[in-house]
Amino acid sequence: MQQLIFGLANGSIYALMALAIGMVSSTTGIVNFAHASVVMMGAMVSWWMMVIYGLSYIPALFVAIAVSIVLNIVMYETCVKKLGDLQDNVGWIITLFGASIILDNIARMLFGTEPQAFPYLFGGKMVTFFGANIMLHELMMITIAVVIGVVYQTIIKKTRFGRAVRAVAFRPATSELMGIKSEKIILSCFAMAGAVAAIGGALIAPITFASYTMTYSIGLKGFAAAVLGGFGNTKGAFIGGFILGLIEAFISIFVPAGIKDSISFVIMIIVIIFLPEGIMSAKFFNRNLSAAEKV
Amino acid sequence: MEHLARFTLNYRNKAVSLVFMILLALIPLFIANDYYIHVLITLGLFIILSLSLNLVSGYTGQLSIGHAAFYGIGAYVTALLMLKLNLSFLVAIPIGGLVTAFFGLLLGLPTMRLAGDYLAIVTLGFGEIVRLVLLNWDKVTRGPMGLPGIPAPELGSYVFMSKIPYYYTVFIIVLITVATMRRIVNSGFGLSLIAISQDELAAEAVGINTLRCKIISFIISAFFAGIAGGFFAVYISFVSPDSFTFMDSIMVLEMVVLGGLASIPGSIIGAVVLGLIPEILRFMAEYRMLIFGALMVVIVIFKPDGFWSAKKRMRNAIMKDLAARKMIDTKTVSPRGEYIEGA
Repeated sequence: MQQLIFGLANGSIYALMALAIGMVSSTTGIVNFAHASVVMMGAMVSWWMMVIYGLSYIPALFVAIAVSIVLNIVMYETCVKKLGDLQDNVGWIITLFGASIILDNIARMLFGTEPQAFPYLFGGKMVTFFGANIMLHELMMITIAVVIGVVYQTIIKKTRFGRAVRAVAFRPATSELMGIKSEKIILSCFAMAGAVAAIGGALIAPITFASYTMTYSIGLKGFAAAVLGGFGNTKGAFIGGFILGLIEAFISIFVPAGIKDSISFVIMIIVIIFLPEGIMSAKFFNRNLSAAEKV
Repeated sequence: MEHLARFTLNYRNKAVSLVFMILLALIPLFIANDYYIHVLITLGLFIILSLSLNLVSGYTGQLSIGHAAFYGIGAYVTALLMLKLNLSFLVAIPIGGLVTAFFGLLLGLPTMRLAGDYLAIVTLGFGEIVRLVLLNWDKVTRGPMGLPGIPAPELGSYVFMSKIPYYYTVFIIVLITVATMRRIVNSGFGLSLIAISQDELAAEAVGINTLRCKIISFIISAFFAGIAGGFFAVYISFVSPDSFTFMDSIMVLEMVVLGGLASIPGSIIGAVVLGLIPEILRFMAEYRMLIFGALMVVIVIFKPDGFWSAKKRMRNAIMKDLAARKMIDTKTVSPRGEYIEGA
């Protein structure tokens, strides 16, 4: 039971990262390799707000969200938009890795190299649940992730803005002709990804400790989750994230921690080879869907 | 007349590169400073790495960001062969290269079918898997402690004591790499690779076995990365997983892109420039990586084709040719073949 909750909690972070990576990739077609650094910045800023400025958890989180949104927008304007043609992936792969190096080093200089203890939600209170000790924080992680997922899904499916996002994701040039300002849609997707990144960062920081390298391996697993579920597929991102978290939690019973990490990448490679569009693309899951409905 | 001009030009190019090579070979006689020789040796390593990645990412157009994994495999295999089996470095480094090439085949077989971004992510994952295995396979790799005490190379009774014999070794390896890459690129096989990078579907249509070509280029690239790794292990006499992180992969890719994709002189220039930047910025160690990251963004945005782009030079040559044949307005083409706006 403990393992199950722990796996789901970690999985929810992977899911949030995969979701944010998916938001960006569905509208622009790029894979945001700098996302992990933005997550780290979100965590570090909220830690800073809490410890240095003495804010409480929620206001600190809001500051972090604002900072991450600004970071993501600046990143889009400098590293992505300036390139023009995004079909050629050499350009954005290098600029985004460059952005991630810049963010990591800014964090190192501002916050130092020492990993910092980050407060748990509810002060790390434990509850006993079916005879297992579970931290309330972990339950909150899962809840918040699912709420974000549901809210995002509702926005995408039900609102005017959501329809515009889907249109841009499906046919960018055509939707531009239909009067959708795809530039604005892409910007707001980057902003949303930034907000989700900050929340994810603040949630994972108590477990990994807040430091400038905290998302080094989690970031790569966010990609693994995104690949598992299929890029730009919201439901897939969650399924991929939770599956990855659960597999890791149960495998860690049998194998040492280092091998556990490499197993997620092996799974990712196998999925890419056999189902490049993610497990949600398997025929079993979408029998009657048109391409535009898969976002 | 035209023939003669071309001949002398060719001849001049050859003479220039020969003089350049002799100068490089004589450098240790003028520079006694160990630090400078050390920097030159690292530059040599970077040149081998960027040339090998250039074959896959430049000429074949398959973006790989896990090159440090091959570098690391080569280094560890060479180190283990020399430590456990007491093999000479002359045997151990090539075996290291071959083992790495085998890993290139293993990774290439399934992944070379993938397009663009997916290949980038898979190679990224592969690099991480290799690093984690090196870090956690305690019995063989001693984990984070690494493998120290790789014996200094011996040639008969001559033992490598100073840095100078290492310089000549890496010099020879670089020459072999450049020569091999030139032969490959100028062969029919090389043309197939370029065709694949331009338009895979069209290449397939004219009868190129694209999958086979891609895998072979991947294997050759892995082989040379492994050789570089082997030399690194011998030279530093210590290997640990820290030297083969994905930052190193990004750095090598950046060298290739900075120099200009699909260009041998470009890769060499990129390796030299990016290899020197950390050394020049050494006095401001705190900001070194920050500046490095900023340079990556700035260079790609303002010079997307790199410093020595083969694509651009080819385009310029065609423009010059067209202007010479009066097929386009000569006023719109500069003497270097560049298009003049508004002329």
